[in-house]
Amino acid sequence: MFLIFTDGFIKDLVVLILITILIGSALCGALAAAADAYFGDTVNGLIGDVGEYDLILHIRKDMKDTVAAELQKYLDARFNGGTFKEGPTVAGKSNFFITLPENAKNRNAMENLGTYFQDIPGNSGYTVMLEPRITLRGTEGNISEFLINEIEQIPGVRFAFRRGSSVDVVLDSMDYSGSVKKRIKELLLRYKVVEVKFPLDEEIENSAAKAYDIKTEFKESLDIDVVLNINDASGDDELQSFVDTLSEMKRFLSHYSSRVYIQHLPGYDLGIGDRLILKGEDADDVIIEVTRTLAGESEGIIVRGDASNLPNYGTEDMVEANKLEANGGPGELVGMARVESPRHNLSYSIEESIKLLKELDAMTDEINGTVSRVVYVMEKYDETLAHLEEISALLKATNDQVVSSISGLDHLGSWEIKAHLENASKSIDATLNSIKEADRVKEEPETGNSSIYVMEEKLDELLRSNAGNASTPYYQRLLLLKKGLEVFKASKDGRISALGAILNTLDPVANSLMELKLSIEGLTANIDEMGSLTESGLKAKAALDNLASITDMTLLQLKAFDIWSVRENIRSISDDLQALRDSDVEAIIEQMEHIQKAMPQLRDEEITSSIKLLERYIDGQVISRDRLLFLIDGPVTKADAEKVVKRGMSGNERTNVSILAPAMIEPDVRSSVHHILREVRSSIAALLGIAFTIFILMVDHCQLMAVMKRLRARSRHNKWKVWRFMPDESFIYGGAVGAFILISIFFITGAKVPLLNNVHVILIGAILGTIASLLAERFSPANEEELMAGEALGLSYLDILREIVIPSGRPGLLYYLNSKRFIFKDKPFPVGG
Amino acid sequence: MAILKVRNLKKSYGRISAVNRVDLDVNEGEIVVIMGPSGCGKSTLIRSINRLVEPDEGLITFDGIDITGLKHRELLLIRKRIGYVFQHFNLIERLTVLDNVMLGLVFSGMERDEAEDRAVRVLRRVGLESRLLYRPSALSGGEKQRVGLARVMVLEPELMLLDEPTAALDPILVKEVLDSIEELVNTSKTTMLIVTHEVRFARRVAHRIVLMDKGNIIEQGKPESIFTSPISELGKRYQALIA
Repeated sequence: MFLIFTDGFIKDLVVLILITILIGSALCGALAAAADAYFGDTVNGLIGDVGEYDLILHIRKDMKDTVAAELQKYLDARFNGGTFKEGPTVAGKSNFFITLPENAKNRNAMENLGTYFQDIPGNSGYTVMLEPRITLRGTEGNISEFLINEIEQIPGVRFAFRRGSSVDVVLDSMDYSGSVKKRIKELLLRYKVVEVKFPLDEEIENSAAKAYDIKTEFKESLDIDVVLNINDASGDDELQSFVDTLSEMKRFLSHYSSRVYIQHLPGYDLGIGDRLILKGEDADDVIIEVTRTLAGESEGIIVRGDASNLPNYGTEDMVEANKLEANGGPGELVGMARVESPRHNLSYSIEESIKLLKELDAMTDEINGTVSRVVYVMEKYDETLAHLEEISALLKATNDQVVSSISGLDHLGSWEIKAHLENASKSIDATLNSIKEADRVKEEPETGNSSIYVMEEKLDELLRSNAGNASTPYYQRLLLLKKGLEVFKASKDGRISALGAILNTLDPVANSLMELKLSIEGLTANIDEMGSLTESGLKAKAALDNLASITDMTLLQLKAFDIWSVRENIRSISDDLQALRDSDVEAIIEQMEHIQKAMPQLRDEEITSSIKLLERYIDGQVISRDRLLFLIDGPVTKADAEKVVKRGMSGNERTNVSILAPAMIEPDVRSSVHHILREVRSSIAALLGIAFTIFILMVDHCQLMAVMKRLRARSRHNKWKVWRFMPDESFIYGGAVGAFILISIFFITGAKVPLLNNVHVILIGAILGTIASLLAERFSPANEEELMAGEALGLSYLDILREIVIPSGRPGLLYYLNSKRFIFKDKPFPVGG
Repeated sequence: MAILKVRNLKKSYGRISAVNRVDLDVNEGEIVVIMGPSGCGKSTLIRSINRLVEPDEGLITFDGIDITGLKHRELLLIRKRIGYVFQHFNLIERLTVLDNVMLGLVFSGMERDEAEDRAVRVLRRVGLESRLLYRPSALSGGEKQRVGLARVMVLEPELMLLDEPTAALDPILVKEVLDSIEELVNTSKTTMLIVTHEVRFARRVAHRIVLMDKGNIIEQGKPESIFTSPISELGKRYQALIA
């Protein structure tokens, strides 16, 4: 095999193949690059620079001239300041490149382009080119709206708009491209679409209700919010919203309707649907229907009458429950019934809450009164202090007068002393009154506590009765109010206690003042008698000295009193009180009153009837698709989602649950075009590579393969039969060389054909080489006679190929390379006869 | 002494047996003419001798060397000692007459000038000194075959294999080729194995005539005995031609 390579021609062949690959790669690469550059320039010429055009309007070719003449007027009317440029006509469509004025680049305009352009004759649609822009595709239904709202919050986003199942995000500038894309990716990672598919052979019954159940299940089981029930977007948004509202209403009414719990008498069993009669007041009997049974117990709903008709309404008492006879009358006694009426509880709670909240005002007024009194005492305190200083001064003056009278230097003016003492007595009275007033605060240490206690009780009751609605704003507000009340109470108690302690320090002062007052009154009564007597004067002086001493001591006591901290405490209580008053009490009252007014004024029988009616309607609704979609906020595993769906579908296991991204980021048009161009370039390189390989195989290698075939024909007849079926070595050579040249050119030039990988390329090269081998003798026949002559002369195959075969062959790369090597050159002027 | 020995030689082309277990000895200096009808395996036999056609089985020795067992490079050396004249001349079309004749010498390692001198001498001997720079396509059939003869003569081979050298020629041109061969036979001592249909030429130049039919040697002997008292039917037909 491969005889022709035995004499060293293999080196020539290696050089040939290497040079072939280099030349082929350079040629194919250069041509492909030239084509790429040409197309790139053409595309840029077509679609303009970044931001140059905003829209491409496609018009039927036959309407091109008409539209060209009218388009500017149209733009002026719709988008004043807009301009256009005629583009190329492709596949029967003429294209107009439109630049919009800045004020027209908004969501509303972009989402209504279809409407705007619908009147243009020959309109065949439009393409949005707004740049810089990020496009999300594959959004299901109203996810677009949700995403737009979220994306428009991202800094750098000018606006976003919906276009079919895509969302286009227009940026303020190209600089934001990276950051916005990053934030959008985060959004797309955060939210997930849960798709629930049903088998084709299974019709989804009550799908709307099931979708609702699944949504609720996500929240309750996984604490994952279903941001959107995407089934809404099946084309009937309003209907789905209506169904959702009805479902919610049903849920509300179900919580609102009275429940009757029956304890069976021994030996009696009840079944679902059984009807019982409860004796009501004023002959208004109540009929209940059993909805659930347990061992010895049943639960039912009122289907006629109202719970308020029952004598045990609002209590825990039991009433007799009899079977309902066909004639509508009571049958045998089957058990004892207790009614639980959330409606009653709610109504009661609301009424009590409103009362309570109104009491809060009264309580604050009460506490305010106490605070005002303390403030008054504090004001009087200063007055008392002034009076005592005045008394001290008067006593001192009186004492001085008494001393001068006694020494005979002056006449003792008893009327004047008496006047001083009376004034002092009056001041003491005023001070004592002030202290007495302050003591009233001490007598009211529980001020407001009774109101607060009542409020706390009622709040607790309200919280208990509304425990099922813990997530409602109403409940949360009640909870806040309770906490606020607790804090206030603790603060108030502490401060009033501190105030009491301070006021206690006034007691000795009051006692001293009382003693002082009695002494002054005694002295005043005797002042006339001891007016001119020295001895009496001396007694009076001693009494006055005693008075002054008591007064000074009292003064000291009062001055030692920490009036500043008392004032601060009072101010704090006042501030806390004000804060409590400033809280949402009024808003709560308003809301409660609103709830009270909004509460359905329905009897139990009407509620039951409404629930049944709602159930019938909701159950009749079917989403007209074989799947349900939910947009959820938060990561969820497929296994968790499957569990939730299974529960929501009441155990149906024939569903297929997938977790999907809410959208995908799509490359922008320009990038896409350039990406396509790159593909075109690599495809061109690939095609050129294939063509070049075919050319080289035909021109250079067919000669060699033809020689191989000739030599094989004369080779030894192998005794092994299998040899006959062995492929001709020229096939192997052709396949190997074809594959090697082609894959090398592909590798060097980056050539690529869509859908073909390297193995495919190698196969193509091998097939080309094999075909070339098949056609070798037809395309480049070896001259058997010359070949044999060379052999007969004892020439090596290297010499035969160089001197005889290749120079006689087609001029190709092999011929050119060989021309440098052979010995017997062609004569420049061949002669002949 | 046999310079060439062929033993049990067999060559098939597919299912067709061209040469069927042939034995043949050729002595040094002997002129052996092989005759037989077309397709009887004459050309295959002599092509097998220098392995232009690879024999399927059998043994060929030349000067004591087993040709059939030679490696490629060794075979090239043997081929230089065995000249081969083709029925269809097999000249290299792109080369001149002189280059065609020089080719074997140059690739045997001879200096180009010396090869040229020798080639010119041989070409003069076959009467083609005026055609040195002609292309083969410009020559007549007889001239081409004389170039073919000169191409072998110039190498001075020890064995010459002539494969129907006149079969492709017009009858008018046959004589000049046969004259050249006869002149060569008369002036050299080269061993020759000639395949021809030229009965008279064979009778004149052959030391021994071998008759072949259907891949087998059916009769061989001196020309006188073959053409006067043939044993085989083929020999008798040739005898009839002479008569």
